Amino acid sequence: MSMNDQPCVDTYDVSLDHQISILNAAAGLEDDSPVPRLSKEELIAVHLNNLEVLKNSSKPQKPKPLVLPAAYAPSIVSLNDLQKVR
Amino acid sequence: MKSQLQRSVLNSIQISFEDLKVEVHHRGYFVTARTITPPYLSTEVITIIEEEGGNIAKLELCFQNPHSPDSDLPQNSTVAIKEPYYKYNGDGDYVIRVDHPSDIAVLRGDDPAVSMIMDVVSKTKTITPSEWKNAGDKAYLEKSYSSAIEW
Repeated sequence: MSMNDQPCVDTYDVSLDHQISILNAAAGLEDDSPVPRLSKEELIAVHLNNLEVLKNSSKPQKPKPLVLPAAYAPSIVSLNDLQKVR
Repeated sequence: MKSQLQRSVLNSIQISFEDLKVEVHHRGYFVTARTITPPYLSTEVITIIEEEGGNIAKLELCFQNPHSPDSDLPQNSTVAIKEPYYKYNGDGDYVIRVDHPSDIAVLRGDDPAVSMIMDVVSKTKTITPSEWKNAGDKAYLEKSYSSAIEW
């Protein structure tokens, strides 16, 4: 069974080229309103299916090739300060 | 004269998932929600959160150490996420991505300390200082470090 035949459980299971294309596409979407592909019920169903896939996977998982974007800068405002203004 | 930081704090408000914009760091805002599914660990911890009002979003925690007992995010936990970053995840898929532990506060759904604190807040229970101390020590010895902090 090739890696491509395994159930895809998240973005990082896709190929490196696909990950790079997602990162490139993301750069052009800044400040857009999201257009979700899945409804609330479908999103939950996919998540629960992913849980089942991982739970029932008896084979050791191969190391995943991945492209992680650089981490953003952490917030410098305390949660307490954010809540005070409510 | 107020500093830039003070102005940003004074303008801070709670934001709804409906108002999140793609690839934007919502500086000065925060979201609160509850985890409605168990998490799974892929390259990161992934779960689904629901805010008051019923809107849901996918949440990714990208800072977790899978070898730490506190690394997961159990169902029915309450989370507050500071200055959320809403990330495009490909083909109509979006996530709130958290890169730093300091950007999220969690009241774990499986933490006895949390339910005990809720009881105290609602004045249905009184706990002595020694009971607090013993419970915190027990949580620490069990390596439930975030719970130990709550105690």
